[in-house]
Amino acid sequence: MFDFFKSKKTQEATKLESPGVKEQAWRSQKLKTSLKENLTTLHFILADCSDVVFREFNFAQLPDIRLALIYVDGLADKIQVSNFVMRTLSLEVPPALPKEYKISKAQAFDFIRDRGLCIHQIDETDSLARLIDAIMSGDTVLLVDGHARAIINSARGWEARSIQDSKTDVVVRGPRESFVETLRTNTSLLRRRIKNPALKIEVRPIGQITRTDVAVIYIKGVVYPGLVTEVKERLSRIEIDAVLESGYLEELIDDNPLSPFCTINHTDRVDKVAAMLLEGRAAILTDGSPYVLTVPTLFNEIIQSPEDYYQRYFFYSLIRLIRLIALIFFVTAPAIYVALLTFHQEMLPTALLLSIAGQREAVPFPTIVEVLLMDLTFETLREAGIRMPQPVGQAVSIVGAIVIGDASVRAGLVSPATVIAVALTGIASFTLCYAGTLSLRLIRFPLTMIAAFTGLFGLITSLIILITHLASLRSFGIPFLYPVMPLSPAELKDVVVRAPWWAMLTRPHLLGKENLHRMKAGLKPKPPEKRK
Amino acid sequence: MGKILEGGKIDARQTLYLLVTMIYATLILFVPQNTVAHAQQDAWLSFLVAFAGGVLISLVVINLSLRFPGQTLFEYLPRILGRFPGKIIGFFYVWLFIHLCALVDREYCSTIVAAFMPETPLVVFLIHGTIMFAYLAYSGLEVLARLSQLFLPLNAGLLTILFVLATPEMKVVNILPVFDTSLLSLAKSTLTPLSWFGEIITLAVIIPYLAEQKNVYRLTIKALFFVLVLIELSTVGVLLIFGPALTGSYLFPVLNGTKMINIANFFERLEIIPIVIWITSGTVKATLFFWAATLGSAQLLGLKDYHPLILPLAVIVTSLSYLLHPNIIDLLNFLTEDFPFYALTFEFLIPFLLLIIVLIKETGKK
Repeated sequence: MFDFFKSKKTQEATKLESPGVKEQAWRSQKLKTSLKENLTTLHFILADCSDVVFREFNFAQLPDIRLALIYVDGLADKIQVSNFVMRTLSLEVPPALPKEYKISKAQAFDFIRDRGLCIHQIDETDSLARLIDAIMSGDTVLLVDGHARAIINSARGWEARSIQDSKTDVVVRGPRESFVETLRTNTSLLRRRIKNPALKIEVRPIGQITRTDVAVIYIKGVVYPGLVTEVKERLSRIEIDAVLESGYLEELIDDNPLSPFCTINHTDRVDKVAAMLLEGRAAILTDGSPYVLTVPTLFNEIIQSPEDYYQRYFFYSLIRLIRLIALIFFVTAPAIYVALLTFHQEMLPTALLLSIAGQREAVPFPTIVEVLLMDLTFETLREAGIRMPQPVGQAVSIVGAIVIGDASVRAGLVSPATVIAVALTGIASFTLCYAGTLSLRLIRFPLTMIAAFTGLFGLITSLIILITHLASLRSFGIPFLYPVMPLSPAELKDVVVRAPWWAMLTRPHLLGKENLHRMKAGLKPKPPEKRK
Repeated sequence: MGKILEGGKIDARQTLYLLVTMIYATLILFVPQNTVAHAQQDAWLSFLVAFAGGVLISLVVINLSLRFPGQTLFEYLPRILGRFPGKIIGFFYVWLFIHLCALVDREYCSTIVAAFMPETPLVVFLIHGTIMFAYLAYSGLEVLARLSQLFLPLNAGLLTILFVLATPEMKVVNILPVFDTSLLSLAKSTLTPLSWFGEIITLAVIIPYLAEQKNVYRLTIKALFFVLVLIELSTVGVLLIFGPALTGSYLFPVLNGTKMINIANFFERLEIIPIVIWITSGTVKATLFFWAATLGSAQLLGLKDYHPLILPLAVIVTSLSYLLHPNIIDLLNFLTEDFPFYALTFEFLIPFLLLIIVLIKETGKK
């Protein structure tokens, strides 16, 4: 027990500091019968929280009963609280009741709960911890004198960003909505896409200080068997002070903490998460972040975009192939360029070789220095593009395009061929799913260096090692390179090409084995006479 | 015991890909030249005979292995021959796998030195190879099987494309007349490919790690058949391009065949493609033998984990492959003159004798 509970005298005598995050003893306490005592405790715990509002008033039905409302200004919906809690309790007697209807003091709590509140969702508790958590998450708490219980009114309403376009996964055709920072809004966005009671949303708080709500979402009967248990187990293992973004969780539940590759994908697109859930995956939503984690993650997600499934399949199969080539190009192009120019000039057609050699005549650096210089410049420009304040955007693009591209060539610092090689690599990376490209951007540099020292042979060696590494990764039990390694030829319909919808009869075999069939066979549109 | 050492399980399709990759990898590198040198334009026939021999060997090996479910060659050898002699034969097999791995490593590195980078010291490539197969062996059998699933379709596709691109250079008259080889030359030409098909003995180490073992016979014969298709494609391909005399005199006929490709002055100098095919498949092959050697020594020594053995054995393999042969001609001579008899002893003779012993023991019990 705390010393402030020992006696009133000591409490008043010594002005106590309110508990910090280390003192958690109050979390195990229960509410008292006396309102005054409860309020003292709450005042003590919530001392110096200037945004918390305490409002005491008398109950209209039994004026000798004091009631107290506690909420956080800015998180609770003040209009709702004033109109449908305060007004009904302090002014009006429920109109359906006869005037002479009297209640005793002991019935007051149940009466208020059952007849006195016009709030859609209420809850009841006697635990101090639950009460404080409710206040802190924006609920309004009602304490009744003489009862060691409290009513939690869910009347939340705060300022939030409106739902906007996705910033990272851009599509031409497809839904525009993306997730926002509020967990409840996000779950509602998903529920609107999947109107089925099988869509389960399990919420738990993570983070001792921040107490961030984290939701595990899945479709029961579709989700990969055992996945939800595994996700929940990994989440419950986490003991951390704060979760400010889903990235915190991502690194704490990753299968391969020592790999440069991230085996948990994230997105802020609602339709993408819904599609993932329908393939048998689970999603992890974090309050305060629009980025949703989806597990398990496969490497091929890097060349997939939600738009592939909305546009005509012929063209978007071609786009898939282009992205695949872009992926290979993105990782290996600078390395191959360096290896060819440093060791294997004989592999280039003579005319091309002569032209490149002519350009490089004035350049004072070896190819590797040139390429690394350009690559680093490009990465710097890219970083500047993200980090710069909006109004100076023009300046950076002008500096990037003209000074770096044109002037460096004219000044003889780099050869035009190098600029082309590096710029193509950069452009290739923009065709891929942004989240997946980060680790590959990193891998590019050691590959280029290896190519500069050991040529194509070393490059092939390191690529084999890279593929081996990728093949040995697993994301929540699913091989990272599935369905290419282990090979499942039927699954390639959604990897190297995008099969038409009427041909994608099943979910991915490994992920969706709980409920394999996506649609009825034979949905391919036919001429009318054959329909019977 | 085997299951504690290696936790991976591979399914039927992965086994198929792994076995095909294991055999064809060096087969299309070194064997066409030798076979054509002996059998001339009838080399395709000697591969057919070698295939039949390979099927026979695989039948013996599988039959033997299935009698000891869940055990590798190294575990059931002591059970057949008794503890001490069994372990000794077991160590002979560890040696075989180390030697095979060293040979594969050397074959590739020598090829690259001879064909592409004559100035670079051989040992540079050997170290590359060592890093590669040590890392792969560290990742385990499952990952190796997955790699073969990526490499085999890629390689088979590239090989086919190469020979399709080379069709303008091909002349049917180059493989005529058929059946013009004496039986003796045919037998001579069959031995080398047969010793390659006999590498199917590795199955005796892999079988316990198959997810399901009922289709092993069909699976293995299918794998050998795919190898046959690939080797026939490459041999007949180069024969059609060069004719028997030239093919028999080139060191790496498939590589020379690729050099002939020139379409619209754009598709030329495609030698990088066979090099990619050889390095990728050769890595899988070398790693498989290396993995078998490390696993075998761990099992024979009664260790709980084979990973600590990877590094020392990798050093041994690298030095061995460097020291075994002074140059590529010596290596080729060994592979074609001595290797078949040496390899077939392990691949056919010993398993065959073991099977007979097991059969006698079983009848004795009844």
